Amino acid sequence: MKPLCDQDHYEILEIPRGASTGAIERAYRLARTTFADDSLALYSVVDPRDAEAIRQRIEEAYRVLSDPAARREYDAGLEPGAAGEALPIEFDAEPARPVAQSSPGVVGDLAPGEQPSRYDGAAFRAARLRHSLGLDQIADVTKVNPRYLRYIEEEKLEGLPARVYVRGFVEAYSRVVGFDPGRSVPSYMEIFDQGVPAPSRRSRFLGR
Amino acid sequence: MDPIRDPVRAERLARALVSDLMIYDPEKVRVGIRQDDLFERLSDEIARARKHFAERVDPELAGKQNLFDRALVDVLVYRSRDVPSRIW
Repeated sequence: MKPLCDQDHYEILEIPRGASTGAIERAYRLARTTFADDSLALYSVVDPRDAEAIRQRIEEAYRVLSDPAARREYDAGLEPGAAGEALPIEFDAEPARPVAQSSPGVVGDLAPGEQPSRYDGAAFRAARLRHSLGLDQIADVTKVNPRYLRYIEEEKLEGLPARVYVRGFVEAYSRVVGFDPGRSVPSYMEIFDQGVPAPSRRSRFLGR
Repeated sequence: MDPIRDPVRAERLARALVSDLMIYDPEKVRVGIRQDDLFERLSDEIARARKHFAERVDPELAGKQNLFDRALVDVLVYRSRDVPSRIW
């Protein structure tokens, strides 16, 4: 891995040079969460001064890449070729797998270039682990109770609240792990609808 | 998929996997801490998480720095320090 000072803005955010605006936004949010000053992921791994330097680079990268004019100018000054060790934020999930283990099992990795046949609980978990994210980190970003995120992964549908909330949770979770909500939400809600009787979908509260 | 060779990313993965153990079954973790048999009680879950970690991370990096074991202590044990136990 290159030293921080040698990395360009794309490498800082771990995205390819052709990344879309949405991918930049997602990568920025993910990077901010990962390198937040209270991030458990950094505990004992990165010196606080280094973490601050990384945060500054993340902010600078996002400021430039999220501004089309500034990005064009920046891109023009880049050397052609290496696009960094791109984290495929606009990625690709594995085919559907059997889901719902009572404890976190090994679900394998998502292979770039593959699209899931459906976005089930296992696909969400695999996507999350591909980004080395814990459920608590997803909860920090989405503000969704980690218990519900866990139920989404386990497809423990009876533990989830009303449909309207679940839809929002799945959409938020999708954005963090790089799924296209336009595909992942309908796919997951189909699983939800099959597993939860209609009257029950409406009558639940968002109890925590 | 290429194995993870960046220590920070590997550490993140170890912590994510271990953190999941707490979120998936917090009561089991608490009982394990309280009765000081955490690693026996969660042996299956830990083994699955460790296997996933080993499959993702470059073997040299994973072995050299004991990243997964450190995560077990730092995350699983440290976060349970409010549980009464003879461990403390």
